[in-house]
Amino acid sequence: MRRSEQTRAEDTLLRDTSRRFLEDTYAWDEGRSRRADRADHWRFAAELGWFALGLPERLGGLEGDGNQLLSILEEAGRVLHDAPLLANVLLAPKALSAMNEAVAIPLAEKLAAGEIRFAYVPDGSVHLSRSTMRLEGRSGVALGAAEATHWLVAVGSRSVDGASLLLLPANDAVRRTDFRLIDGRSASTLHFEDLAIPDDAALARGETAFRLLEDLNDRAVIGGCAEAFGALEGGLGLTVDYLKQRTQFGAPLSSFQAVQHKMAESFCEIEQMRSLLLWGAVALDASPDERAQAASALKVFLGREGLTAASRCIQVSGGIGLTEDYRIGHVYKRLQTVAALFGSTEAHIARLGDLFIPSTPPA
Amino acid sequence: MDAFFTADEIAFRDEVRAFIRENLPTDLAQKTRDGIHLAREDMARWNTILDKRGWAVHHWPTEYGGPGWTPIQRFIFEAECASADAPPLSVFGLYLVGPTIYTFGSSEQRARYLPGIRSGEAFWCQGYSEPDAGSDLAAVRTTARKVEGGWIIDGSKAWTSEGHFADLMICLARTNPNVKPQTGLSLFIVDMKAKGISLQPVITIDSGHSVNTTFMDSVFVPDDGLIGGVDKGWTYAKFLLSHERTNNAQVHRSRREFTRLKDLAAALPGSGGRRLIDEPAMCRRFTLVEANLVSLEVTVLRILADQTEGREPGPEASIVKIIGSELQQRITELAMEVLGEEGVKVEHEGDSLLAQEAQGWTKRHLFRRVVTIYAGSNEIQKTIIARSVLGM
Ligand SMILES: Cc1cc2nc3c(=O)[nH]c(=O)nc-3n(C[C@H](O)[C@H](O)[C@H](O)COP(=O)(O)OP(=O)(O)OC[C@H]3O[C@@H](n4cnc5c(N)ncnc54)[C@H](O)[C@@H]3O)c2cc1C
Repeated sequence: MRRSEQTRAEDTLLRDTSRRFLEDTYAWDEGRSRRADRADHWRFAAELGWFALGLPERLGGLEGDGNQLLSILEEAGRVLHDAPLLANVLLAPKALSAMNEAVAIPLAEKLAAGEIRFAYVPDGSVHLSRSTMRLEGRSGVALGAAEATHWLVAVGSRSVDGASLLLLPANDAVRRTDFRLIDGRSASTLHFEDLAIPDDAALARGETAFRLLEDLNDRAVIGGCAEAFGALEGGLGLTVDYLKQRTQFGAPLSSFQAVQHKMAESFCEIEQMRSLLLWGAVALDASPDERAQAASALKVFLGREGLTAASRCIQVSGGIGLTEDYRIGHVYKRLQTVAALFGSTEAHIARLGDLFIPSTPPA
Repeated sequence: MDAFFTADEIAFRDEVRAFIRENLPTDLAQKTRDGIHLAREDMARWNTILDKRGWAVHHWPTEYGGPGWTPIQRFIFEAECASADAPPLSVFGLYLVGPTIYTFGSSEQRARYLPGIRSGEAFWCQGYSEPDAGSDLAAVRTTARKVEGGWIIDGSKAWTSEGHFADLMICLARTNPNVKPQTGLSLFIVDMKAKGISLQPVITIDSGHSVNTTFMDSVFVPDDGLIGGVDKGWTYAKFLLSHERTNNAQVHRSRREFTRLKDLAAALPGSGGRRLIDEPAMCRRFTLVEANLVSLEVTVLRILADQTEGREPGPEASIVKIIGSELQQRITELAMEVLGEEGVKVEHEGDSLLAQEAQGWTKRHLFRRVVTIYAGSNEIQKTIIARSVLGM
């Protein structure tokens, strides 16, 4: 088990390679022209092994651990990456592991090679009729659904009986509303209007599906928080550098105690988030309760202290922090976005509360 | 909070309320609800309506067209305007330039510039900050050099809000480089159409355009464009800051936004068949904001009551910018929780209440990060409290 981010040599290598690759090909710039070469970029990412890392060996994968997977997402967050890595690095490998191998192996191969792309389609109000195999309802916010070749669709996630996990080829017959999110990523809502689906589209149903859906959503939470964490840590570095350069009242802003304390507070919050992420990384493969606790604790921390840390960075940057051309505002928007996805802060507080203080039946 | 007002003040409130009900165009109210950076025409229209009733420059002395209200009456008026979603009036003319000119300007300047502000025909912007002079305003580098018949201004101004549609700028420039920074500054009236002025839009975090960088390249300002005495600009600017104490609290805007947010949370479904606002966690968060909002309202009223009754406000006047701006941010932070996923979308689908309201709230929320930075950042305000109030 990993209890510190003072990592093994091969992890450092992975992180450094990822960081270099991202900075070379995807560094944040104010013109935001970096989407230009996306297909290439995806292929390079595949060559680096990002999509094979989460797959088990029996599916031809590299069987990396949670820390390694999250380090990729963290590094992607640092450059405010806007492609749907989360679903392909962290979620799809899990879903494929749960599938029948004959179907899973070819898909895993293509995922690892960067030839297909998955999108995670969280549940909104989607309902599957077992008797007619027809799908009805609206999804939640699905990152990268428009560019994906395959959708992992969460259905009926609120009850054990209604739960299913579906794998659908991206499909023009499904009405899709595409929109941008405030952090620049693209996402969609899918509208299933009495859509007939083949029997074998359901990867799991009932109890198994329910557990798998919880697992996927916790992964989305933990992975999303890893991306947000990378963005935030990069944002703190940017801000501290700026404060050392910006002079007011004849001294660098970094020399004012009020400003120093603000950055020190943000640092405290960021380090705690790093701790929670380390727990999240091992919890990915721990018991469902522990995984849920780690995911919700992270999400609550992100939605409260994480956002506070980011808004403090804007504050000490002054007016420049409010401009579209400067990166810190985009860091803030990334955090705000992750805070709203995969269950709100209040919803995760409630969930953590239920795990921490289980309600006792009345005597 | 009726217990705080006299019977006359309540009667006054009813009069104002009735006037607004009859005279505020519904499309203007709608625009005020939806947007955060209003167009000039929209602000001007409401200004003109108020001017006809003699209420546009409600805190100016009667000799310059003010209605002669007490500070408490102004509070009531502003509260009524906000709660009816009346457009905010352009702050620069009304709160900054008007008082500067009637206090320090010449009689010609008063006659020439005050009527336009009152009627809403003339828009002003504020050219104080510069790239290297933010919190440290005395570091202004823009220079004004004396020439025959006037002054030549050179330099650039950062963050000129509304500069792209303003007619005139009140500009702080250095007239004497040989004295200590504060004592070498003067205030000028600059025509935004003058030769040598160019603007570059600055897009803000909400993707909106309300601020600009203004470049001034050998801009000629005639002698009558100087306000008051040469090298007195700093004194004038400081005087105004101490003069206007409660506007920065934005208490009325906060009250109105909070009410709207409460209405929204009451109209949205929560879990288990409840209204969203009835979920215990939501209810608690709303209630805590309410407690802070009421305490801000009473604090502002306390200051205004002192002013109304001819006393100099106490040290509480120095806290309202801090507590008011932090509260503004808390309200939109709560809004983001109310909106959930809808709040992080740039485009919204359908005409549900949520889809209609989301965009305005999200933009407000993002732009609202500014309120703790501008008008004297909260760090600077806290230093002032520690030094001048607590004597530390
Ligand atoms: C949207 C927007 C609209 C604006 N509109 C106008 C306008 O119309 N006209 C105009 O003249 N100006 C305008 N401003 C400028 C505004 O007044 C300045 O942004 C503000 O004074 C802060 O200056 P700065 O941005 O240079 O930040 P800085 O002065 O660089 O400050 C950065 C941070 O350091 C902190 N800090 C600085 N000095 C100290 C210290 N000694 N101790 C502790 N902390 C310190 C500040 O509190 C802040 O958090 C606007 C700004 C914005 C963002």
